[in-house]
Amino acid sequence: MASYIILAVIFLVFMIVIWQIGKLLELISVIRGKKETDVASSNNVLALLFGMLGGLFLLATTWSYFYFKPTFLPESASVHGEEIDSMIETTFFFTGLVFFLTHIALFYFGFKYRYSIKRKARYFAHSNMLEIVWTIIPAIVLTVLVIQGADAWYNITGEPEEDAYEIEATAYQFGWFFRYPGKDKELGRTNFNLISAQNPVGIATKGIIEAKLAELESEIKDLVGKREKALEKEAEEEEKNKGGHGEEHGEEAEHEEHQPSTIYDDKLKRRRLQYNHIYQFYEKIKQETAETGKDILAYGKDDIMVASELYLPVDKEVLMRLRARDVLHSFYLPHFRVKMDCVPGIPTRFKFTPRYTTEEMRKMVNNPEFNFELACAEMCGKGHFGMQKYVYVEPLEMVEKWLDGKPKFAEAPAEIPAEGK
Amino acid sequence: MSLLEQDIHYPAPKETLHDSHNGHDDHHEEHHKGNFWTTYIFSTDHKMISKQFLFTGIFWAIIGGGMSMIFRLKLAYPEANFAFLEAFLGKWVENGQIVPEFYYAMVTMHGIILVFFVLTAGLSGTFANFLIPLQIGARDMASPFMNALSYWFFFLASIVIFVSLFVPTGAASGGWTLYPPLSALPQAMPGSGLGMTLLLTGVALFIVSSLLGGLNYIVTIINMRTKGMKLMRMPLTIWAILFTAIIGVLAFPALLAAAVLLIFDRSFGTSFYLSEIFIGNEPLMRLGGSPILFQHLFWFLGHPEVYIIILPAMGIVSEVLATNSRKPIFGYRAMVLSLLAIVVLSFIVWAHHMFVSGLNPFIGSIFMFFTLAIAIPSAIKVFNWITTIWQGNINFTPAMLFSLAFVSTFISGGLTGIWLGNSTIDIQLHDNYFVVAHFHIVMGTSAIFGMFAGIYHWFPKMFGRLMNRHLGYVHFFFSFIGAYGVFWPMHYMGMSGVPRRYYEFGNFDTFRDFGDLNIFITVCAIIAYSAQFIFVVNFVMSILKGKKLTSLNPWKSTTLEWTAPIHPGHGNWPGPIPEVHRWPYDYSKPGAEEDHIPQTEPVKKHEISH
Repeated sequence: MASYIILAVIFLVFMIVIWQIGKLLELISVIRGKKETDVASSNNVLALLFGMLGGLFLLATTWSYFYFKPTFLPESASVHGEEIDSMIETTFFFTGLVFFLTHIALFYFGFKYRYSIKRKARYFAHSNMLEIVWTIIPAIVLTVLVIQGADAWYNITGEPEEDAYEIEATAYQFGWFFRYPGKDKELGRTNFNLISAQNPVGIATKGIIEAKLAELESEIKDLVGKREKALEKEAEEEEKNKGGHGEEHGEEAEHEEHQPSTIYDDKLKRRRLQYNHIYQFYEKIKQETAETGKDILAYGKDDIMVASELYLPVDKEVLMRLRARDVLHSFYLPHFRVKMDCVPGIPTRFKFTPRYTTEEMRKMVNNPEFNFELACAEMCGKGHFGMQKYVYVEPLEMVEKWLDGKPKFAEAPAEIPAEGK
Repeated sequence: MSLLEQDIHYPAPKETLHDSHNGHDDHHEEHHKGNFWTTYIFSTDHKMISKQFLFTGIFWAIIGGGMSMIFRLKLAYPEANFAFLEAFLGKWVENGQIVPEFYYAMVTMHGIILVFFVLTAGLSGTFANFLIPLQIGARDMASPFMNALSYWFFFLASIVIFVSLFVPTGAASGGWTLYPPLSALPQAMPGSGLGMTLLLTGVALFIVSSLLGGLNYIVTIINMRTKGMKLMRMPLTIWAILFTAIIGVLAFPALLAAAVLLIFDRSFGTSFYLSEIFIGNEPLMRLGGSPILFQHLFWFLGHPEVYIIILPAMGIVSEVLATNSRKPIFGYRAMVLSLLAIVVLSFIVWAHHMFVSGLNPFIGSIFMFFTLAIAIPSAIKVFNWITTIWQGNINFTPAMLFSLAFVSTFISGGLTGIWLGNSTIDIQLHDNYFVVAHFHIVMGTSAIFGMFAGIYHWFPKMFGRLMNRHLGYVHFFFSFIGAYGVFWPMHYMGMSGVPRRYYEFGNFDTFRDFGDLNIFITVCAIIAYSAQFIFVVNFVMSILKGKKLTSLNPWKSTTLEWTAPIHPGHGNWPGPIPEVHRWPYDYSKPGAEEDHIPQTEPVKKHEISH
């Protein structure tokens, strides 16, 4: 408490000191015979300070740019990143130019046209010519930027190649699961109802679906049974209460054991919904299987799940399929100029082609410890800042070799680390 | 009444001059004296309501700014021991470390408070209320009672939000954008519990306040202008406020919808924003919703909101620049038209916040086009401001310095908008520090500077006293250098890929090397924040002890508010409302005796009116 009071006192003293300094300055100008609302006698000094502030500001921004440039991200490690970087360069040129011209004008005019009793301001109210000039020039520049931007944007967000290398990333609080399609080059279907510690992204295979349905069925049966029992008991109790006062002790003891039937309602409803959801999902896939003749439910069996790091092939288009399990996340590879949100319920994607292996990049940035990194770029909870994974780029054969060493989903699902650390 | 006031002669009300505009004349003197409660608290006088908005806004600015001090400390000194904060923050400091939940709550509430409670209510509420009747020549707002309601809903919202800071599970912490599912599910983050419920309630109340105020502003400006105050004779402040109110009335309902649907998802088991979620080791059986729907609704307000914030500041700056350059604002018509263009475009650019949200890329490209197009009216305004000071005769009052600084920050921040509005560049810069730099400069700092310009300029009219201008200068230089010192380096962090809303950077090789820069930013932030107390002292002490105003028109301005008495009563003009005969920017007109001709001055026989 004492510390609060001391702080408050210090604060008050500080305020009073500031006010007194202000008063003093005011007094000085009053002695000089100025009214507070007249143009200040210090107007010239202020104009000079203002001009200097502008000069200082432009120097500081220029100097700091060159000082910090070496810390900027190195050259893009992906092909499309070139387009983004060149878009930044074009925009940087135009906006930089405008920044300097307007700031020089602003601060120079401010200084130059400071108040003078000898001069009268020029009555210059409008000029259509000028307005047209500075409508058209920005319009032309912006058209250039829009065209270049839209062109790059369509290239980047366009359809992926047929044989793009598919990888799926699933974000959760707070980490990532990566899934490679395995030898069949097809990622298995998923359903969020099938998620478990052994199946962290909810891959759907025939076995998993049927086991889950059976599990839910027995759980529902169990819950229905429990609920009925509870209902019976409640009915009994009601009878008892109607019949007059029961023995107090006995009633209390019973009360403790007693579970109201309603607590099962919600759970039961949820399990039934879950059952129906999975059942419909299963039916749909069955129908699709019948129509296409492909064994869709087998796709997931040879999928390879990895949670520790992400391997990407070099010089091959990668199609990242992105999903989120719980809240929004964003798949962000700063060195590759890749960013796309992961949205629960809505799959998103991003295609890109890595063009340097980790080894090559290490040489380029002259740092043998360098690693590409994956980060989360959408606020996702208290661990948002910790969703880091290393990303390694290797030739395709090496990636495949690395994958060969990993267990397939159907073989060893338990090897996937459970949630969080 | 002081001696000074008695010296000034007011024309007596003339019954014969009554017309539809000043029908209240004979009543207003009776309203003049009420008791303490009706004069200072439940006042329906637009001037008092404006002061209420201003005081509440300053209160929130101190709180919201203080929050940024807390998270800046953490960012600069991730390893330091903050045990001394335990006395203030209690359980939110563990082992000398600010816990992430609290850090994120601070980040979130800082955003909400500054955007809505300071820069919307504090800026627009203050100056719309104060300037509309005084500058258009009206006795009060169209509905003074509704106007008072607008403040009291804001007050209620303030209380709810203030309380939400102290709930045991912590204040809302999912970022000021409140994106579900994070904000919808208490199991996703403790701050999404009671704190979020209160926040949404507060925001809903705030929207009610904003709509009540906005409708009133529009009606007043359209219907209650004095004789001769044609639309094209309105000061740019009024134009800006009119457009601000229109944007608010059209955009805020979308946010209300977003908030109400979110409340439904949170409390009544609906699934507007939720689908296929597995959380807390359990699948949530909520199907068919879309988190992206929320983003559309949110940004349908959220983007116009930045114009709600910046437009009044633009109006204030236009006014102050013209007055203190002793020159007409350059291109009045172009200024009005560019404001209009900004209003129209502001409604069709919202999805540029969602380029990488999973939005259809084609839609993204449309929004990129409109977003870059909005740079054109913005550029016109900047060029016109610069031309306004060109060949002027500049009086460097604190208000003028802040206005000039506004032009600078609006340029710096506006230009980076051209970067971020480009969907291609946004892929890389989205949600990283470049964005933080951009919007803090273009709408945060600019709007605050505009607000300061307005306060320094209209303080004499508000309180009949002058602010200490020397303290104003000190305040200005610290604020300008401090603000750029904080936000400029963030561009460089952005270019290095550093993401925003990170509690610390130690987990990443790529982001961890900005320790020194983070310290520099924090030091600048502390300096800039502390300097604001120079303003607070100046503001409070000047109200109590500032030099009394001796002339009606201290800045030799042309607009109507300076024809009202130094302490205008409820009704503003003791006599009939003055008539307007000319536009508001006749400064340094050739052939005129004075360097300013008030709007009330009839156009002379051979004078060319604007």
